[in-house]
Amino acid sequence: MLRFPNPGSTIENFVRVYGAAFERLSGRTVNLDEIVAAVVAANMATSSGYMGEEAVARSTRADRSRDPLYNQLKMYAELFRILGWLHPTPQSALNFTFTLLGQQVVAAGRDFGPLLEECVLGIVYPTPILAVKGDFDLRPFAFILRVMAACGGHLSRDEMIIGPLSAARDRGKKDLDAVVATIEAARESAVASGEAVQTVSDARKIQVNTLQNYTRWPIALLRDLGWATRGQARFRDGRKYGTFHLTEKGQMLAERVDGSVDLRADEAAQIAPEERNALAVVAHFRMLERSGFDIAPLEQRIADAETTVAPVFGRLGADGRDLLFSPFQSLSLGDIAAAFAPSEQTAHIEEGKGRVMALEAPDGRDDRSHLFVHPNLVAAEGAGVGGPDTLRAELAELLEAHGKISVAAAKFAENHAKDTQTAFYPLVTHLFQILGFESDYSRAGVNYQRWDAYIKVDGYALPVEIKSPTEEVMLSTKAVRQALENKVILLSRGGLETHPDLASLVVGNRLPNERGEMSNLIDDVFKAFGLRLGVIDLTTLAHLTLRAMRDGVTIEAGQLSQLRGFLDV
Amino acid sequence: MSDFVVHKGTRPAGTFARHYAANVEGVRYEHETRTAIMLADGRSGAGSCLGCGSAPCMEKEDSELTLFGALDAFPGDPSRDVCPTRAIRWDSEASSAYVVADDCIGCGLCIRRCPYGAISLLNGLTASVETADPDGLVVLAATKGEHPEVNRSGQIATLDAPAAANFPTTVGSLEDARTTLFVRNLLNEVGLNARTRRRGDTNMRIDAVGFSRNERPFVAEIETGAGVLDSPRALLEDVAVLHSRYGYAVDGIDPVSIILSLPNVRSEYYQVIRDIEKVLGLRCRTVTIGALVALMWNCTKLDGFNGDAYTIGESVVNLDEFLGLDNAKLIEPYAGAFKPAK
Repeated sequence: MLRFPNPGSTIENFVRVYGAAFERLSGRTVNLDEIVAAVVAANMATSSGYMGEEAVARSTRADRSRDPLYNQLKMYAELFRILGWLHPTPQSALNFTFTLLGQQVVAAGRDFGPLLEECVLGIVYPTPILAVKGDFDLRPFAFILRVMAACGGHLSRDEMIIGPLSAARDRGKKDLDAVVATIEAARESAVASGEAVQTVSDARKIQVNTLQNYTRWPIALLRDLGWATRGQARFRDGRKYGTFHLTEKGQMLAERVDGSVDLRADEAAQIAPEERNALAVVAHFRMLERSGFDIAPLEQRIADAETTVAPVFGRLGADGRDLLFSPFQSLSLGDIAAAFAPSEQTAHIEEGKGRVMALEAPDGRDDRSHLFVHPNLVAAEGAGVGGPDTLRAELAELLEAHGKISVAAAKFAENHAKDTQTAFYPLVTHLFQILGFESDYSRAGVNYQRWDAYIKVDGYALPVEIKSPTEEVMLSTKAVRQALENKVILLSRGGLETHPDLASLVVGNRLPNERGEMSNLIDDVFKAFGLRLGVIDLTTLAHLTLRAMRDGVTIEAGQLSQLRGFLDV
Repeated sequence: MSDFVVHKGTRPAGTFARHYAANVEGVRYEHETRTAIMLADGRSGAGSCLGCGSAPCMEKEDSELTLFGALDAFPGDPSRDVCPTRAIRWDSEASSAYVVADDCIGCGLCIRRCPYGAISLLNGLTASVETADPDGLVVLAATKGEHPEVNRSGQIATLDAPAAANFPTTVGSLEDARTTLFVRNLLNEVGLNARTRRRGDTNMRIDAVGFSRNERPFVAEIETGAGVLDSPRALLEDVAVLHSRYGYAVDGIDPVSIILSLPNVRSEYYQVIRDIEKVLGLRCRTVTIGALVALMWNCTKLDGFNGDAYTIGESVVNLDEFLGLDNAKLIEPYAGAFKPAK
């Protein structure tokens, strides 16, 4: 399946990222680190909530695969290459030069749309300058338009996955008919559609959500170029589903594509060099003419090229204006250099400079160890005996069945992974009760008290923000923000006795794998307002509760009430 | 020979397809009347499009998007568009701007930015560009020059104009990126040095940052939908980020909610704002899009957030008293623009 990276932005921002890099680096051979620096300098990138040079410092890691800015710009660069705006150098696929086509995109300013559209239709595989995994013979966006037109004028995300993006070839009617048949079969029902996507997932060994991620950039293009709009369609069993309908513009483009002569790289390679150069000139400037550029100053050059290439057009049945062929996306670096005046390369990168910089960098983030708090467990009289009998019985049974507390706690969390708010809020409260703390939860509809529950430590209340697994599978910064608000509201409105220096807690199903954002927020809030925010996941809470039941110990009250960060068993 | 070619829509900065015989000194707006200009030679009359290369009615200069100090690194929306719906476009054949009425929401941004008085909200609903030179002020010859600093006065339209009444629908239906761009441009036109965030940047959640005219930094949350109740909480995070990562003192930052309509008077929104002030000493301000448009249409600046300005207090929940406009001009353009619904 064709995999388009998803740099996560609007198409306008995408083009402006290229413009920012171009304005600062054109005329040079550059590597990704330099593109990162240029994009950051243009205020167009952040990392871990930091901006500017601080963002670069925090992003840069010796392990480049974990360097967020580098990886994001890698995705941008791959797409810029696909569009013919960046070319690799003959020496290295990781060093780039900005192309004449890219320069024209920048020169179009706010009117970049038509030329981007031409470049999107110009995307083709295989080409001599792009190495992609898989054996493809495709002009993907032209094919998407043809498939949409042939499938009732619409195509859903899943149909894009099972259809045009999974096809290996698109040259003939047979290839189109095969894809249309696959899509039509999937339109039987939601189940059939889901199964078809799963088949692709199994065959490629790629998770479904990753497959869906590959469609984000194509869908953003369809939407932002005005080719398609979001709408609905019905499966043959009557159920509705979301899809993308061709607009009038998209329909016209599909017709244009259908009536064009689609020249592929292998066919171009068979043309005599002089004619191929002339073909490149005609195709490139006709693309620009269609995109609103003034090609009159090069009229003679284009006319001469048309004379040279006339026999080729005769053989192809084309006239140069109805050609689907973008030279900067289809020809080798040598052919492009032969056809177009070279742009001057004034400087070269220092080989390995970026790599050295990265190797010298730390892991790109502050030390967060202070936010991972190992609980101090102390013997306590009420520990392990409070709370509802049924819950204690459930925990005891798990402990008996699994022996180890860590396994029983994990199993407990797994058993409650589908709890809704109604079950989960009391559950959390009851677990704190077993730990020996007074705790209660807010009843539904009590909005004045924003906290979902509270626990009392030495007579003072700690508000608790609870996120059930059905609300958030993994806790988010939203929950942390709500815990901050809970504390402010409790301090302002009273109702329960508390102090500013006592923690406000968040309890939820699981902690996110990447805790950077949460850690930053917890630290930022403490630095700005002196308020403590503590986070506990269900497995940790169950672990402590099991210890309370088995060993008669509980978390030291002072530690819980001063918790700042993640309770970590 | 270079193979580079120029786009037909390219408008070289500093060029004019036409010009007035004398410098423009003033631009005067009046409801349902063509925008008028006052020339240095004493003549006056309806303005007309001069086909200027930099077209401030359509695009902002890069310098307008610059922020002071450390905040200049804030990853803002790089779009230089003035119009939130891209309704104003360029006719390269005629060398003039024109407005696609079907796309125009009548916000007045292009009208406010044209230094030559060429654009008006004649029907109170959509902008229109004058190209006919009804008062014979235009010399039909190209020239070069810079835009003049003009004195703007009058009222682009009264606040009961249909365009303003439609804002809950027209602004409410803008997509996220265009809403933030609209707010940025409004803030700029009422005198604030502001930048709004770039859509798709999930690392930076602050919707807008900038400086008010008294050079205090502000952070803003922009909410035109149901998220209004969440904005005070988000402002706390914004203040914490600006303080701890960029060194601004907590009590030196103004947190501002920029919303379409004030929530119902019984909403928790007002109570949470009061809670925040009581506990943290932070005064969250509230500005509506209707209030910003009212300032812009009346050629008035937003001076900043001193004292009680734009604070929803214990009993005061009307924004109109902070706008500095005559009572006669203070017609609430739509429900919730100045006062919360009861």
